Amino acid sequence: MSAESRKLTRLKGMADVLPEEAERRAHLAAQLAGCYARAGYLPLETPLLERSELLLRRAGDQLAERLYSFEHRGRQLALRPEFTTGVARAYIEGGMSGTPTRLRYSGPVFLENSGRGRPRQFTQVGFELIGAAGPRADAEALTLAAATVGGGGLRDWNIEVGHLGLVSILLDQLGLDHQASSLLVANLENLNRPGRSRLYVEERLAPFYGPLSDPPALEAEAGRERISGEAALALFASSNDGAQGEVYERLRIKLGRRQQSGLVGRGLALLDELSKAAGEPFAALAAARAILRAHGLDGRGSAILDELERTFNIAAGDLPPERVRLNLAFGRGLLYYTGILFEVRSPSLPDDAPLGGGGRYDDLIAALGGPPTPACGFACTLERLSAALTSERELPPPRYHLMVVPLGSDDVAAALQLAARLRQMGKRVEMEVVERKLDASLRYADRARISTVFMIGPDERAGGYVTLHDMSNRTERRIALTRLETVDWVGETDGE
Amino acid sequence: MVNDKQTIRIALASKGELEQPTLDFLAKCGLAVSKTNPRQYIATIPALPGVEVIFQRPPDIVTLVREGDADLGITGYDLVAEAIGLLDEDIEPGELREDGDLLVLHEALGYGKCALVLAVPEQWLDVETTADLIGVAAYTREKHARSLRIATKYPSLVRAFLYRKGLTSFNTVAASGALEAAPTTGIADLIADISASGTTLRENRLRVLPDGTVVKAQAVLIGNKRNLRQHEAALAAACTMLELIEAYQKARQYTTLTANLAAESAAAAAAAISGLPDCGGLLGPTVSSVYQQAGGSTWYTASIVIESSKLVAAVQQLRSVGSHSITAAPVGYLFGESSPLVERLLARVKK
Repeated sequence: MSAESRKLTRLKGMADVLPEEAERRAHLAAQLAGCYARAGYLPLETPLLERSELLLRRAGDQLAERLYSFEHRGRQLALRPEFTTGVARAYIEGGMSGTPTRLRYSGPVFLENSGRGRPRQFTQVGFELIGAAGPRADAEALTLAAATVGGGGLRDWNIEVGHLGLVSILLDQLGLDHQASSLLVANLENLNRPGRSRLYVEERLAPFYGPLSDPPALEAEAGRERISGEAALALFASSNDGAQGEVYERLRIKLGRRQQSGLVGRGLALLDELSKAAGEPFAALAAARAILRAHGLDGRGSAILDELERTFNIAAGDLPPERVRLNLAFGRGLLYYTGILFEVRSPSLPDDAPLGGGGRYDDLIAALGGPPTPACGFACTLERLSAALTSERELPPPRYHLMVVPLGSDDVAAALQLAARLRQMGKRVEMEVVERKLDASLRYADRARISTVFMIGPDERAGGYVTLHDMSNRTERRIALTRLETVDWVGETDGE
Repeated sequence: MVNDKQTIRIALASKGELEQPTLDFLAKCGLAVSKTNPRQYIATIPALPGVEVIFQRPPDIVTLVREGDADLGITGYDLVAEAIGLLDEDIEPGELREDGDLLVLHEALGYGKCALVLAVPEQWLDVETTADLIGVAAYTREKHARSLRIATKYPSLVRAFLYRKGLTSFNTVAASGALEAAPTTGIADLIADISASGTTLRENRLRVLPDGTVVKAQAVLIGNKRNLRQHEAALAAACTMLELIEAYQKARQYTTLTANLAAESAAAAAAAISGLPDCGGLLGPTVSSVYQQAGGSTWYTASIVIESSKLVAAVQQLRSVGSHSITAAPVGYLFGESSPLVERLLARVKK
């Protein structure tokens, strides 16, 4: 087989979006952009390619594992897997400093997905509210996220809300160090995901902290003694060079971590309790208050619950509480969240993946080298929103183009004039460019979902009118060219 | 290199550890390679007319087959796994491994066994498992303001493996020479390399992590899906190879036993043998008469195919019913009623 004649196909996980769906998506994207624009958000474009290091700095393991990353001329690059990190970088590099700065964006993102037949390129449409903290800013992010799905016309949706700030404070109050706390936060998703549980998380943490459920067994303690004893002996025997000193230091840190085991177990138990108290926001808040009191952890934690209550009160008008599930042990794959975080889901889609998600990330801009700046945002996956909308109702195939057909070659100039006039009226008009019989033109018009065909021949030109062929019922009528702007066309619906 | 429609091309290892074992293996499967062509990198397989053998470096074989410049190839699974970026845990046992046009037709040819393993300097007493590397990476970032560096020729697999284990803060360092020296020379902190026994690693004062096996590998037969789909003769050659390889591999587990015994009738001889626990054979014994030179009792010859692992037990059982002169011969090929690997391939290619 010759190399040239080979049929080249698209890559696995990459989709061609054919015109009908592309039209629907473009329309939806424009709706969302309009929704954010009307709330004062300005467009921002960021590159598809970024340094891997930037994208990985605050990403969780699950994202890192799926990053499209490759080496190019000695540098590690990656296709953006989401927008927020790039937007934060652009905010710093662009010297933006408005308090707040409202930005919106739309474009493709890439995530490698090992599942067969699952897409690897998505379109995200989202916004970031940078430079504002507190319940009013959080409420704006929540209600705008709700407006995203509601404005798209989706009927059945809900939003799950959590708060990583609360989780961090509670784990800190329990005495967990930063590493232990991050590991638990990274595993929150596993605590809540169907089919997984506290036991699953315990297994994931076991390599670092040993068994968490039971008090540290005597054998395990003895094992630790043995390691440190061996290490001390080895260190005695070796010359005390720098490298060996580092190993000793690392060993000391590792043994110290093992002592966190009991605390990690307590932290996990608390998170499990909070997860089980999830539900309608005001009820869940009351339950959480009781849990914190029972653990003697009110104080800083209670202040956050008060803030959350204010947020929900502010948002209540645009975000009905019955749509919200507050789960204070809720987590996402991304590690940069520091406060409220949330995901929007549609029960009409078969899988559990969200339509979109967002939250507060007050540390990210500083972590990327900018000034300490509070920020929050949300992004929706257009493909999923479109799928959810389609699953709720059958969309009729659109019929909204007009077509102008010159009946003979002498009629082309008049036909072009007519097309230009219709376009000026804001109509979508196709010009017949193939020389063929009228029947063939009409067959094409039917396939191409043209709503009305405008025919111009010698009679029409002489009489100063145009013949309209309505494709929906195959009837014809004449309209005087002078009345073109005023007449009401039956069967024609505007696509815009 | 462009393949025309007449020749079917199979790429075999031209050098290194796979070269001779591949030729030996194919010969045992009845697919001996004949190097009569004066051009040293081209040969034929007389049992597969129309098939041309080209000798290539094992990593190039993956590329040639993936691009369709060779229809089939035998190379190391480690190289294939790196090309398709697939960890063992992502595959169900028996599931056909593939990526784009690259198909693994047979994933266990039974030789060239090795593993891609993570190895750390011996003196790293704080590292017992791969999870401990997370602590080392955090320490390295804090103390030296850089990522942990891992020297490897298999960056995709190593990245996927370590991400899965929760380690994300590291860089892979491409190295082509002897990787074992990388930690000593300071090019990298640890390595991920192919090892058959671990000896070389130990000699270089490196320690293999017990849970650090990234991929277990051996020689595999690969093919180009598009070519097999469009080129009937190539698909037929692939099926013939699979049939013979499968029959050879299966045959190695079996032995043919032939024994003489005295009995009143052929049926009685068969019944005596069928009653023995390890002598049932695949279906039952084949019994035929022995025409003795002198008179006496009637003798029969029975032959059965048994599992090789039960050879001695079967011989003892045959003796216990009065068998004489028992011979055992290896089975050359054992063909079942169908070939699961051929069926798997056809199902995939014809989909």
